Amino acid sequence: MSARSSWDDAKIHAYVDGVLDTDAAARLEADSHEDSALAARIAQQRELRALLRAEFDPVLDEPVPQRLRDALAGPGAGTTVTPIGAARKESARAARPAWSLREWGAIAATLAFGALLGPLVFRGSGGVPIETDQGRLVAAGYLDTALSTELAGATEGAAAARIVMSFRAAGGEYCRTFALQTGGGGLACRRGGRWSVELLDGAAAQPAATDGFRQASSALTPAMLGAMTTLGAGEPLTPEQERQRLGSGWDAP
Amino acid sequence: MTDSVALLRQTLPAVLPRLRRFARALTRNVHDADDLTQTAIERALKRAAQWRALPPGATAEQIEAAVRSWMFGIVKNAWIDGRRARQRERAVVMGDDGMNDVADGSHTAVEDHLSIAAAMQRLPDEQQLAVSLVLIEGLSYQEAADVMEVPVGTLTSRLSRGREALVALLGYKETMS
Repeated sequence: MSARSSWDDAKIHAYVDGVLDTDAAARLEADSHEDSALAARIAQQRELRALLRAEFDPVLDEPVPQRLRDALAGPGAGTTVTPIGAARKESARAARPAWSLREWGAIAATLAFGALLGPLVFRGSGGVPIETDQGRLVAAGYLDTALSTELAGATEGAAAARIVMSFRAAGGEYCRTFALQTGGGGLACRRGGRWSVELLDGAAAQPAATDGFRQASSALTPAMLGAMTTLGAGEPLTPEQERQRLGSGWDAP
Repeated sequence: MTDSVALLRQTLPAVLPRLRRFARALTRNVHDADDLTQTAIERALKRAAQWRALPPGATAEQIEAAVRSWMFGIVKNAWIDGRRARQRERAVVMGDDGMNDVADGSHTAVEDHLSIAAAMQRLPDEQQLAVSLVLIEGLSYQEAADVMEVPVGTLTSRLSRGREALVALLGYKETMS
């Protein structure tokens, strides 16, 4: 509690926005491990951010109404303006999800995100393994490490984060689902050199260490399966394919 | 300046989905949001000549970013104009001073669950703008301050107050300790 007074709302907000200077951010993280009230305040702000994105990001994927396209063409304009909204919708229907979303730096708009955040993933003393990068949520710390370096189902013992499975989305990017020891789990996709967290689900259970793959299905919640469908997930990567990725990186070719 | 009009027409389609999202965060429904977006597009095309030219050799991305910022500013101004017009109408019709929202806010703040969209509508205008630009649109503090035409310190203070107000409106205070 003694640390609490030194962290005002503005500092916590700056931290959540990724603009707190590195030294202060490190101190804040360290304090948050020992101060559950501080950790809760950070989690509240992260959740708020995620809720806002979940509420409004789907707008990006809606077709742009004709009247706006008409307004854009303007009175007497000779050229037809490309109806990008319609084009994006069509591409989504053609099993190639509208991952042009990437260019907006947005969190996956169509994913069921907000409703899942009630049971916070960010609890306990394990720190907060998610940060923001240019307006999106990306994996940090041990979660980032696990996503980049662990084979699915391979982690033994009390790992803070465990990879459940990997797949390639229709857009070409690699995605992995994960479970956290502190409870909950999620799905992250490799974009722009970071693991972009697409989904957090408090209902996900970490598979028992002894059961490995067999139990992995309990960590795949309906929300994750829904997200995978939206992403156009292909077959799960085989251990060989995963090893290849660990060697040469997860960025989409 | 037909050149800037042509450049705007060329660039706006890529920016439109984000303008619609921004407008949606500011208004109560899809219809109002698209009205706002349409007004902004029409104003932008009329004022295209005012749009400051980018240095020659600007990349497509730089052009898009510049158009986006400019358009956010136009949406913001159109939204504020609309709010003021509606407040004036209401003051005339209802004989009040436009304080209804405040009374509503204090009433519903005690309810358990306010949706995030409803909570956004309870914020004072300047906080709603700050939250929309930074937390939803992902603008940097500086970019958001530029769009709002205020110093960065003012932006961050509005943003902070908006966030804490949202957290309170969403009822987190009871579930977290």
